[in-house]
Amino acid sequence: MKKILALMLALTFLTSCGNTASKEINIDSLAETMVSSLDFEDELMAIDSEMAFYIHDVEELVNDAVVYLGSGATAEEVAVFEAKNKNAMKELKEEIAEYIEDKRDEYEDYIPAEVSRINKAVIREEGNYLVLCINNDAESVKTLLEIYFNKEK
Amino acid sequence: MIVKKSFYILFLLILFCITSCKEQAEEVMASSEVSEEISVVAIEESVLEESVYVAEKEDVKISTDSVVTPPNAAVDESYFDDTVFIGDSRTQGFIYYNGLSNAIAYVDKGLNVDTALNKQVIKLDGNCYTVPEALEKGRDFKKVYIMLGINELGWVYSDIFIEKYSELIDRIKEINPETTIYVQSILPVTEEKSNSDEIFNMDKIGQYNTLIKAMADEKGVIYLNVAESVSDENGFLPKEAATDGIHLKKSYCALWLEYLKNNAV
Repeated sequence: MKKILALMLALTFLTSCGNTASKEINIDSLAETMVSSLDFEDELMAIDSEMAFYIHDVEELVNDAVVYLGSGATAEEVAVFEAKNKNAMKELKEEIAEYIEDKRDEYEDYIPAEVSRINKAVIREEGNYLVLCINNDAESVKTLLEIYFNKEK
Repeated sequence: MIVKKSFYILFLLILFCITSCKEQAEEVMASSEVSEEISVVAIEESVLEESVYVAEKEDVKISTDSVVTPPNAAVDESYFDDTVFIGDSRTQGFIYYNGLSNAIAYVDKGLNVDTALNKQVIKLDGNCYTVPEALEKGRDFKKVYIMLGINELGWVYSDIFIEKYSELIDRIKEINPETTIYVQSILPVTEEKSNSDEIFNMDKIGQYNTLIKAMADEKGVIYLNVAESVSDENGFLPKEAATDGIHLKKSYCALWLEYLKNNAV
């Protein structure tokens, strides 16, 4: 939470300095901000883009995607997608919902304690962007995304 | 009076000398502290360089000692274009972190030799298959790398583990008799994990690896002691390699890949 407060201050400062309003989001920057600002138990690392589509079978639906995964010790994850259009966004949301179901099934037999974390998964849609974050502190995730997207508006 | 004045001047001179000497001494001490710090850093860096060099030297040694069949020269990642990796969460991390999207990965968290044979956990085109069923779907693979065993360490009978592992090897040979099969040793866990866990410990991993190597010899497949690529001098996974003592971080998955590239047949 301390990290979130620091981020709030930083973003507030950026906003008050007259950062230009834009609907375009730099998804690399957003994912990186999430990984560095939120508390994760495991060390999350960026997955290369081809592998990101190997994990999330959504290549046809998006312009770009950024995925950060842990070592497998936890179910933690950060993924940010830029959908091609509104129709693609609809399908993308369905794919991500299915992905979470699969992940829940996978961990149920493997590390049952991780299921509660997966149940706290935050999915946030903003324009053509979709964010998935699996983290124990869902409230902090929501707060961070609220601040981030408001800054970008 | 003159004597008294001279004595006073002499006293002032001595006082000046003492003060300036003290200042010089302090400067010398301060600079020696700095140089000491610099030399400590230099020593640490040289130790680091030395350990990297030793690791490189050891890699060379590993590449000749630990493989049943003598290895060829190092290969690049395209070597894995026609390769299937079979494994559990550790192999999954290996594939994801190394970005090996050119290879086929039949991996699942918690996969073991029994579920690999009998449980339909491999998703292909929206359907689920056992590992042999998935292999039958695309028979043109040339190499198979297997790492299984960590999830079986808690089994009561290790002979059942080897029986099932052998069965999996036989099934792969049946499906594609031309394929080169690499059986990898089970990777170590950290010392802390090993000392605190009745199942995930180095005694058990060592026992299982001995069984796996014997099975590989018997079946005529290649045994890779890949554990050496990520072990510390005492055979443990270094503490910094895994947050839970088991699953490898990205940098250690890279060491594992380098080992495979340097030990291709």
